[in-house]
Amino acid sequence: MDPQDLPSRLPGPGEPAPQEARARSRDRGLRHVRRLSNWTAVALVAATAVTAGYLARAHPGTQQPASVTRSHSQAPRSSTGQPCVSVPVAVSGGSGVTTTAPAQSCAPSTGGGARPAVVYVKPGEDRED
Amino acid sequence: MPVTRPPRVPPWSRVDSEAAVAVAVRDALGTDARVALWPPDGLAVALDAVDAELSRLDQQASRFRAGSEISRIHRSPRRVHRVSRGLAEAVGVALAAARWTGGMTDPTVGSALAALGYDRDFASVGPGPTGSLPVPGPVPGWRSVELRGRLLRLPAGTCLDLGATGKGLGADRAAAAAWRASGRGGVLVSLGGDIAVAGRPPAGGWPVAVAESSLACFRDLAGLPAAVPAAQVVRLAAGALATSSVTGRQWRRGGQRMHHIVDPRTGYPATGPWRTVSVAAVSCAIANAAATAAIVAGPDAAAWLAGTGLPARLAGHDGAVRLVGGWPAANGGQLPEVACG
Repeated sequence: MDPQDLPSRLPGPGEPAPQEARARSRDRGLRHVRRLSNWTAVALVAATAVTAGYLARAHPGTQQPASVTRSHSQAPRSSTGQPCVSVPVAVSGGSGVTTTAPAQSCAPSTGGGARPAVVYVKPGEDRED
Repeated sequence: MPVTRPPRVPPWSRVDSEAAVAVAVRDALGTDARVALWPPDGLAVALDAVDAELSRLDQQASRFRAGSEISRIHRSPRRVHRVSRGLAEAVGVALAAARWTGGMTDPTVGSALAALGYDRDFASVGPGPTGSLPVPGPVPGWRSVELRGRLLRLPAGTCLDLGATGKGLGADRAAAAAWRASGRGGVLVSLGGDIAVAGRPPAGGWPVAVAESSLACFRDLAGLPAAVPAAQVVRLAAGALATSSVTGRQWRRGGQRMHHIVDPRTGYPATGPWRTVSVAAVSCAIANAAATAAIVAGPDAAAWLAGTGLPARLAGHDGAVRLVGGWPAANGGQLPEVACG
């Protein structure tokens, strides 16, 4: 009989029994998932803290800028491995608006340019009499 | 105890047109969800993460879902509720936004919206009977709502609507979760046009079209146009971008045209000069709140937005466009990166 046909080998000295090994493996998996969940929670709390911190610091009516802006006048570099995406991947236009738009280059345009996109409303978004 | 079955999740559809980026869309939260991701091979796990976040938000904060946590609170005779961590966060962000905007956004507009007819998922909103309009008046006000940790105190008869921040918060949560799940590259999540990005953007930023209006404003005209042009394409490298508009989500009630952005001072749709406002911010919840507040603020909107330092684009009913906070004038221009001050 070929040894590979044997159903399983007996555990060696100091090795856990197969059932015990499976239980340990399951426990390791659970611990891994719990660790991931904890990191997820930590990241979410951090993101919330950014929002809450901003809203707490910013004050209505103040003329002191509550945020710092940095302009990007130089052309973007694509040598960092980041892809060049030329077609708009989303539209921001209020709820329920989607768009298709022609391709553009990666570099910010310096001119006004032609109006680029066509916007369609999802069926049923407008409920008129 | 009744068992609430989770709503069926519509399938995602791939709509990408460039090999370097995967783009998928599906209906979600009464609007459309869109996920763009690079490298594209991480799309499946990213979509799973987005699904989980959207489902969580829907079950926590949807006032249109009878089994949601917030709907159960609205039906409850008790005034003090111990809420989930997620709903506490959503209400906390809404209250913080109300404070920040000086009450121009207010989560206690729920009853006013329902009285105007927006009391169900928007796809089901129909014309109300003539003469059924409510008496104008201020909403209960965000100061009447108390949140301490996870204990929420809600006055009798007050219904919360987290519309000014909810979708933005959902986009923030979903983008962060999708990026963690995919583990590299970058991701963009849009919920009905409220957009958050996480990770590294494509070179130059994510290209996003900004629209001033939707076909909704033309639907009652004969020979409606086949398309409305987007106003501009901008590039978003970090943070978020949100747009509020009075031209979408319109319905008719008592012979009057309604839209979903309610002025907390009157309990009626805002009537200012701006039809669409787009704002970039460090998070989509902030951008969402600022855009909605600007619609409500009316003539004061540009000055208020300028005071915040946030890049914004305001489009008026008369066609006038106002750019503040470094919003790029050029088509294809990159939005200034906004950081916490």
